[in-house]
Amino acid sequence: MFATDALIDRTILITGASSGLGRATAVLLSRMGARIIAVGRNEDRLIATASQLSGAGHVVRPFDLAAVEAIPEWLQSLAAECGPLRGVVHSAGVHLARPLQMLKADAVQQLLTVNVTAALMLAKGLRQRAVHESPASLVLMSSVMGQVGQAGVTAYSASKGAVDALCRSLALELATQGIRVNAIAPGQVETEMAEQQRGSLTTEQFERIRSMHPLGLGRAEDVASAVAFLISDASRWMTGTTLTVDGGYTAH
Amino acid sequence: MDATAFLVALDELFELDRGTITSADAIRDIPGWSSLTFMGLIALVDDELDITLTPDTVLACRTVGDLLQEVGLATHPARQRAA
Repeated sequence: MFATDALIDRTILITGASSGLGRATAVLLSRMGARIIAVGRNEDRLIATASQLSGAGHVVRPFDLAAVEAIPEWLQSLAAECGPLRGVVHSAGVHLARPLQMLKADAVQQLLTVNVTAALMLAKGLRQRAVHESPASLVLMSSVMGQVGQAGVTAYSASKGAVDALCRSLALELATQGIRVNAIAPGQVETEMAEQQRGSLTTEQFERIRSMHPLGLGRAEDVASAVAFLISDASRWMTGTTLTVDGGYTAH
Repeated sequence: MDATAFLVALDELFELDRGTITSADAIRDIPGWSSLTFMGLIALVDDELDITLTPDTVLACRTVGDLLQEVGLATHPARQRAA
């Protein structure tokens, strides 16, 4: 579907590369010629991702994005080791389903740290002169939950709404440095994280969500294709946008 | 967390007075039962007991006592239904 040389010689860092959307994105971008820096918390799972990548030169770097203060300097050391980045895909994320009476402040803080603060710190790291090579592209993983509501997922919704908002301001702040910033808002995709979310729903509730996706539930590859578009030069005139990839969920 | 503490946590989740819910109560007849409190019940078990229950497992429990058994708290003394 995409040219195998579209990302040739480009180094792309992908967070959350150990599973789901991040892994599918790593696989697709490697098929397009990119050199992947696969980031996640679990080294074994990252190695499993690396074994599925096409081409050579990919690296695996375990890192816990909750250590937000360390992110900019860590990106600097990665760029010194692997060369400047042409793109970053922030696919790591935390989901939380809790009714308000069960919502704890520290859990909200943890969620915001990975979903929002880490995104900002990745942008802060990427903008450093030695870290990126322009034109560069930063792709953030949002969600349809940033656009529409669902009872019980308030903290997650808030974090994804924040991603959409920071994406616009970051786009303006980083345009002069040749860095485009866009987000993707997927609907329900059949990944491991979605399986965990499904764990809090009855079969009936899950079927209702499925029925609200006119094109059915998504596959990780559907989202990876949108990332490929936003990372590549095909989207060179796009910045500050949230691209909805939801099988029609928000068309209702 | 023992069975007594779990029942108190259930009272709090359903915003009922302490001591309202007993092991003999039918789960789906608890006042305030809804998709949200249902989600909260699964979260409570996950947060406090580190057990991941599937929704269908919870729905298979008829009474609160069945649920206590499911999460391994049935051997502890649980409050009995108030007279």
